[in-house]
Amino acid sequence: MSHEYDTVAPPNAKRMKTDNQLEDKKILYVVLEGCSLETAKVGGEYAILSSDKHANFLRKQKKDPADYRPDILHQCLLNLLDSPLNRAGKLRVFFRTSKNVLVDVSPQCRIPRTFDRFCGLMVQLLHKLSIRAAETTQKLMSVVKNPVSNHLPVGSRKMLMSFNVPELTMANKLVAPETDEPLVLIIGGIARGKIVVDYNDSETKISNYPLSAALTCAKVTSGLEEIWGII
Amino acid sequence: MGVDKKQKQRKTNPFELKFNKSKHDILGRKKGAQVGAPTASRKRAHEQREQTLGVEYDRKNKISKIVDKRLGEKDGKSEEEKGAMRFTEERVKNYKRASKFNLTDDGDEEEEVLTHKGKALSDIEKYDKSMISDSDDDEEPGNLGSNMVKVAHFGGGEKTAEEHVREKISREDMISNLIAKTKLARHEKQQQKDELELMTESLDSKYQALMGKMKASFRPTGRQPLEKDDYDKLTITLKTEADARATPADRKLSEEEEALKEKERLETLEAARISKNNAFFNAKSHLSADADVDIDAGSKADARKVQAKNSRFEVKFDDEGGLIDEDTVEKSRILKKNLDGSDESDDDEDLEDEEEDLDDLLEDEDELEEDSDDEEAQEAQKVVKKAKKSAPEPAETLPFVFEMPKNYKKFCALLEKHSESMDLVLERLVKCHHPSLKEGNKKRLNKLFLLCLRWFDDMSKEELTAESVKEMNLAQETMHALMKFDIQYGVRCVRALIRQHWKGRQDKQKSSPVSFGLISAIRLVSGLFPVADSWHPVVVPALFLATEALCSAKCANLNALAKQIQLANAIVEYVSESKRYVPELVAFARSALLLAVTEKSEKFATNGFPISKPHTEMLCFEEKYTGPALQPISLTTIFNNSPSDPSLKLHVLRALLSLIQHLRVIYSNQNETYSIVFKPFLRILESIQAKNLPAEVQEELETLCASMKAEIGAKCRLVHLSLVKTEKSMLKMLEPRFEWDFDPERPHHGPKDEKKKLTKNLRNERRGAIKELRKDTAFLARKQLSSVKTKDRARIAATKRVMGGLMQQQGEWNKEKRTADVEKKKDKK
Repeated sequence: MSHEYDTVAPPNAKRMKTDNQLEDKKILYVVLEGCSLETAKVGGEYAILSSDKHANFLRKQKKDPADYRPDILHQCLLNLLDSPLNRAGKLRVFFRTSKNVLVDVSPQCRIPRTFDRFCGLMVQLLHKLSIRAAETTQKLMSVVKNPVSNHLPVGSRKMLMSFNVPELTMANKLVAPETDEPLVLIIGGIARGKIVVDYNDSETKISNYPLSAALTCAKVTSGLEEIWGII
Repeated sequence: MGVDKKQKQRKTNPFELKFNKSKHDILGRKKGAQVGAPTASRKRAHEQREQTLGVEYDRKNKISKIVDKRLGEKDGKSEEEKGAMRFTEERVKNYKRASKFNLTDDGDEEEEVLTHKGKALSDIEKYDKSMISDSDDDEEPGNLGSNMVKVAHFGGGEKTAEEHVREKISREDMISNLIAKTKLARHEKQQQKDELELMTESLDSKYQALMGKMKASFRPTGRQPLEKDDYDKLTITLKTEADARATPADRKLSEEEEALKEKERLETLEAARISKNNAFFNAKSHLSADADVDIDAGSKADARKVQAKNSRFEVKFDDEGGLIDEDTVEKSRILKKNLDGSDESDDDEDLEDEEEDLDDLLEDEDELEEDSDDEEAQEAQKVVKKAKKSAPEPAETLPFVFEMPKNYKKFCALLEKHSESMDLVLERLVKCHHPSLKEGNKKRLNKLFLLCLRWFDDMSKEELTAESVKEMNLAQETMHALMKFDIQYGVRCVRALIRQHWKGRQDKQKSSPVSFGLISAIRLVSGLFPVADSWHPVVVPALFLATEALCSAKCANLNALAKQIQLANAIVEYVSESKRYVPELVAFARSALLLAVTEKSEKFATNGFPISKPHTEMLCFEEKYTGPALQPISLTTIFNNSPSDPSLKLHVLRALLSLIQHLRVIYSNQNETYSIVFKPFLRILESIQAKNLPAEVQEELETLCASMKAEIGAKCRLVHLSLVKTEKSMLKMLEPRFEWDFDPERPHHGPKDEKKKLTKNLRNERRGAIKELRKDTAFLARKQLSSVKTKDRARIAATKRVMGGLMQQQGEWNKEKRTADVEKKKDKK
């Protein structure tokens, strides 16, 4: 069905079997792990819990407000989906919340620019389990079944981004430009701490300084744009 | 307390509890029941069934039952106690009934009194009819007075003394008496009523009389009448002066006055027509300051414009080009016949008559003059006499009355004689020969028109001086004034003039530059007739003549070019109102402009322009212009073949620029073709070497360029279709659907969802009902089983008992038998 897309087909587009050889293997998969995205009924309204808006509520519920940072996820998604890499159809994004909800984000999804609207959309997502496009019925975000490794290409290289590892890889050297294979990067959408997952094969860092999640996303996408020649 | 404690204990029994596991915990949301006690709820259900369904089941197949209502029988009380109970019961029963339903209670309580409006019902007279009945009631036939009725129907009982007396009166008497009484009562009532009515009427009439007298002395009350407006005044005058004698609206006018009035009326009508015409061309073309190239022409044009606006002659015509004057079609024909002095009546011949040159016309006129020479002389004398009386007294020494000159020579002589005040002479000539003054004056005026035209033509052919221009102006004014007496004749004459010019252009001077005569003739036409008309018997031929001349003439030198530009200016005047597109004009302007550039981007559009080098750059300025200051071109320099002036080049260029400016303004309403027409102009204008020109001309050129460019930009609508290419193909982003009124607790809402909700409710209810019914069945089965079991048990026990007794009997019998046997044996032994 690639003819539907007059410009670039998104990597998750349905294809005919005969198109298989045409399939582009150079795709970056980004999994944002441990994102804090939790709905709660605060004052009769459902909202995404965030540290600055619902501090008192969280304290009443005996939770640490510092753990509730949906803005990190918002920034990461903005950085990822607005990147030229995504516009060229070479990026797929998943995120998993601290409540183990795994969400598949369509590359065609235009993330709301304001945080409040993003939160409203996320409330809808967590309750209805999918978000569709405004004009069409195309799914832009959907809650999918765990584990995430079921949705990742078989045999792909899966790297976890971490600060506390000795191995340093420049963002523009994450893959060899001649190899034609997908890359999976696992990035923690957290404010502090370390991500531990069971499906990665290596850990690496792209800077000697601790980076925020959004900055990591930006660096990674720009690095791969450089490698794959997307300008 | 004890029961509560037991229940609490039962609840806390962990083996009887069932815990619910929550899968999606959302903070802040009320959680449902986390823990359930299934056994307890089952027990409660069983107990409820026992009380409802169980009872029903027990009563099944049982029709009636005996209820023992004896007091204290069941409890096994003593006789005394039973007696006491019965007594209290009895008392209670009686007390209740008495207090509840008896309105008047037992004797000791006060009697309640029913009232109506605060009065006791018993006080109110039962048969008082006055409450309900009015006077008319009794008047109905057969309706007896209430007293009568009372006596007749309810009489008896205690008798009054009177009645005792009357006891023996027979029944007939009594009835007749009764009727009489009734009648009397009725009569009295009627009389009273009549009296009252009479009194009211008299009082009314008195009051009316009094009011009539007092009315005058009362002050007016209420709203004051409003100030009278025109309408009111008119109504009042109509009312009051309806029978007044009508006065004539206008006094009878003299013929002159009537003629004047008629002229005014025509003028106003014409002005209305012009204004209506102008509504179409509301965007009146703007003329820039440097539009007027020569002062004379400019002033003339202005004067003419004013004239044209005020009083243009409307000439109507039919399909064949014949003139139509609605009222006087026949009359005009007769007039024409008189003029020609022949008896032609055919339309064709009429038309042929019009196809004549000015010279022929002049000859005709001369012949006519000789015929009617003597006659006219006599008439003229009369006119003189008459005019002497009527002519106003001017301050100068000029004679007031002029004889109509018989031929052109005399006319010229007359004018030469009074060369100082030609205008007055002509004016008086026209005045003295007003057609209303004398029979045949119209003919004379026509002749005067012809003479003026010839004068005008001759002047235009002579050497051009300021004087001659002035004289021509005067001639035109006179002609304009004369036109109002006979338009048809004027049209004929001017057409003849144009035809003469046309013929002249046809053979001899086909490619020579236009003469001043031609230009002035064309200007004359535009001054005398409405040029905006789409078809006009004079204007259209004149326009054709002008365009033909513009195309065919050769512009060999600057002088010729200047003449051609003058001609073009005259044509511009024709089309300035109608905005008609004249391709010859545009082509000429473009070609002339080409002369001003050295590198020619295109060929000349018309063939009148030179091809060889020095002449093709007639208007180019190789070096800085240092001539005299800028002045408009004088007509004399152009038309008098005077040696060319160094500043002429600049003047011509300037005139050309102003011509183009005129064209730009005129055609600015043509949205579709504007850019196509004027783009070449802009290209040429931009390549003119402006730096060599003086500052004023430079400025003019720049403004022209800028305005043209802006207008082309605004009106450039044609855009070529081309394939639109995006720079980079990329993924199309889609906006997520955002629900503003999203409620997670009720995620679905819409017209369909209501039905969905109901069906879901129905399904749940049905399921619940089925479940309940199943449980009921189970309960009944259980109950049945238990009853069967108890019965069985009882039967088994009874059987056992019987069997036990029988076995005991058997045992005893066996024992007895055995002992008997033993005794027998002993006995035997």
